[in-house]
Amino acid sequence: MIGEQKIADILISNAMFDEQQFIIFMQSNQERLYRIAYNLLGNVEEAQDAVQETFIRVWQNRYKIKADSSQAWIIKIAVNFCLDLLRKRKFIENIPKDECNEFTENGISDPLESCINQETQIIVQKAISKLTPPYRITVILRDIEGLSYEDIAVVLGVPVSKVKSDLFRGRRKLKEILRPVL
Amino acid sequence: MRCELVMELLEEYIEGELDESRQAMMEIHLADCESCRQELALSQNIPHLVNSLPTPSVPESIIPNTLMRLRKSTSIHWQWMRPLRWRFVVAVSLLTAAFLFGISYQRLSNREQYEPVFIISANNNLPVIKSKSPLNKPVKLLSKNQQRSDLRNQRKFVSHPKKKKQIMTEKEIASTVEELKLAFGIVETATESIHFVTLTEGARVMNVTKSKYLDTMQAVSRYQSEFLVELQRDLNIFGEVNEQ
Repeated sequence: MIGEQKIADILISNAMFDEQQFIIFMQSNQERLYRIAYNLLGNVEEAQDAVQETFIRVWQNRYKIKADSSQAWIIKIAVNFCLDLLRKRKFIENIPKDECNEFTENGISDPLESCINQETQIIVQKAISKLTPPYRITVILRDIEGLSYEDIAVVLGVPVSKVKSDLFRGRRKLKEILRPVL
Repeated sequence: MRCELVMELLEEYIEGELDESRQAMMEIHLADCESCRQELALSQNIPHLVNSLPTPSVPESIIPNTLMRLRKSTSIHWQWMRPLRWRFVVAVSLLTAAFLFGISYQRLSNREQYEPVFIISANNNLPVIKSKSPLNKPVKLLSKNQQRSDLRNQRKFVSHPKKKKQIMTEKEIASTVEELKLAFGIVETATESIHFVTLTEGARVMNVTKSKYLDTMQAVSRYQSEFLVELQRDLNIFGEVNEQ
């Protein structure tokens, strides 16, 4: 499973799961969840909603968490919520805004280099947003979040073979989209 | 190995998902084919490009908003209620079960203790007798066609089409009507051809013979007499108390 602290360790380490512990839990998970939601939805407000909803669902189900629960469980909640949103809006292409202040700086000091990088990033973002949800989420979970095939299979509730085929097809599709600009 | 196949298998090759023989064939082909090598470089670049996407800055409002929503839904403050909630659910379930059992039991016991109600069927279409039994149960004289509709409140209508129904003579009809008048204070009659008598006991409906009907009528009369005797006795006692 994901090589991070298990959720059960965080949530069930104390008999009473109080507000303070929950805040710490949210602080340690919000960045990853937001990144997944943002890359999947391509929209700041919806990504924010998705993270909030995920935390609320975790809180509501905190007593059902099994001792072997991993981070895959919380990612699964977030991904399911995002996929529901995508289904609701019937996959209307929602390309991220190309505002520089939406991203944290990657330690790039040269403004020109920074701008070129940002342009490439926007192109890649657009290309990802053109993928269908199964390919998109698989590529995000594998290439951005670095999850194993097994973890992705748990998150998406599909066999590992499907994860692999979706990943390879998704990457192939991305290559075709990006080919003219690379 | 052809270039088309190599292009198709590049992603699997990068991830090391090919079997040994194919992996070896790919390496041989890539060593000789410049265009496939370029394609491989492009494929290898894709995961890096995706991975190099910047992490979007997390809005600071996420945690405060989540807490606010949780507080609104009160669940965060009601955690102390959790052990009580189960008890509450169990208590409500038990009460509901007891209530439903009570209703069923009452129905069953009512069914057992249901006072006899008489329905007399006639072959005309007019309901001719409407009165009340001693316990305010309706007594109706019905046509055959009306039996079912009038018995809609009964649970089951048991009919025995093969059973020979007793035909009453006009004299018997007249006496039956008289008996009903005596028993239930019937004031209306408008039939001359009662064909059979149907006795209803609670949910049970049955056609009865004249003798059974008469037995039942006697039982009712006896019941009425006993009731009157008891009533009289109570009145006497009451009178005596008053006199004292």
